[in-house]
Amino acid sequence: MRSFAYLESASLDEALSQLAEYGEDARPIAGGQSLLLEMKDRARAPRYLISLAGISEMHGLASHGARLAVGATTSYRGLGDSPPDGPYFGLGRVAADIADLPVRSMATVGGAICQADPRFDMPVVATALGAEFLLRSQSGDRLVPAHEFFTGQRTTVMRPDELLTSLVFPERAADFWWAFRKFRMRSMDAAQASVAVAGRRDAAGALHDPVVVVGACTSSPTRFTQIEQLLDGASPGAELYTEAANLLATLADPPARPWPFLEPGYLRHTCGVLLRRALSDTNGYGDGNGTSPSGGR
Amino acid sequence: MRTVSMRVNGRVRTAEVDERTLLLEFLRDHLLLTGTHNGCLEARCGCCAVLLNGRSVKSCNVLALQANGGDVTTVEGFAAGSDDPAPFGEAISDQSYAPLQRAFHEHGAVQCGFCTPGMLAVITDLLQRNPDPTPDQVREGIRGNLCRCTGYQKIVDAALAAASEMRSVPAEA
Repeated sequence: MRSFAYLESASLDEALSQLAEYGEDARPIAGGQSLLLEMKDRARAPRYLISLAGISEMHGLASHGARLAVGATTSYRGLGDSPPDGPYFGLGRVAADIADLPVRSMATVGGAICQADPRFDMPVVATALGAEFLLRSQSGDRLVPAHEFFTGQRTTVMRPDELLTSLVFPERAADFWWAFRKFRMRSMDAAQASVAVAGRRDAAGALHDPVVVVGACTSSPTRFTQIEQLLDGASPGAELYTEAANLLATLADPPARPWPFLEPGYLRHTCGVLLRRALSDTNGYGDGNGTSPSGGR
Repeated sequence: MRTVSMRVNGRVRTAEVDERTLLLEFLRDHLLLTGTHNGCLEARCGCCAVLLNGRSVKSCNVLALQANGGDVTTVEGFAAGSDDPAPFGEAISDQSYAPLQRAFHEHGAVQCGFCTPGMLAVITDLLQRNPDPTPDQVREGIRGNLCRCTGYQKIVDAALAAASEMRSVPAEA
């Protein structure tokens, strides 16, 4: 690890002023679970670490009208233990199945978004759910939709002076449905392939305006509009889901990874299987409290 | 260099450290609490897990500065009365071991012992969250802790036995 100065920020304003002053030489640290691994490898060598631990307003869940805001420094553990009621209830379920318990104590939702590692779950889920990211800086705030935020493997549209302070999830009607599935070699690993699907699901189970996002085996969360068109309003059932799975298996184009090496054909097939399983999850990841058509968890 | 101060096993410990010092290194190199093991140094194996403010963390992937002002419990602190632990190499009496430590002993969950401090920290955390876990929930809880000796079954058995004992005895004040 290269040496650095450790700056503690007591307030958001202080952190933004430190970021404005040190720019590319600085890196905010929330839980540090990805950042410290990179720093040990010297893949990243910030001269200043700006600790966000003391900024209470960046932590926890808040409702903005019917929208949900998840503070960027909310830990996976915090989100998993106290999930939001309503359509985004399943964020807790996703968070509770990431890495392992001690890592979830430290790792944060915003950290995963800023790290923009395609294998991480939160970028994929946030993209499918139509989340927007609130980026703040001394030169102004902006809300960037998730699908515009990720520009490639570990790259985003964020400027060095900007700080992600929260993830904002839009208001959803009672027929909103979503599901997420991932595949990994070992239970504590990051995903090798992941699929998130969201949309309105009518009483018959048909999906309307669906969003299909594939992660982990893509360079960044990637929408597959052909699959979305196939599913939109189509009669639900095993036949449709298998057709969608087969189509995804032909469209997905996983890059070769050094470890663990999985045949691209295997990963393409896996994407299809994950999509089929996600679509077959009729309850979805809402809390079943009138928010998901068939109820239950 | 920065001054770092935290409560470790009940006692406030302070040291002047380089900013890069990991919590693991603070415990082992500065406080000489070598019960916390350095396995992989990349947050994979779980041998370095300790409790930080009551939650298990992998101390190899946390800066000492991140734990500044916090409350840390290491394997040296699990036995009753261990806020003033026995000097290195001196035995702790059987009665003072925590139920989980005794269960590890009784069920053969310790073989080489390298993973044990981390297993104890994570399972302690797990049992605080869920006093009556299923075997699958224990396995889920320790999925970030590698053990190359036991095949995990004895560790799961010990965790379940300790959970059962801790449920039958009211927690000490």
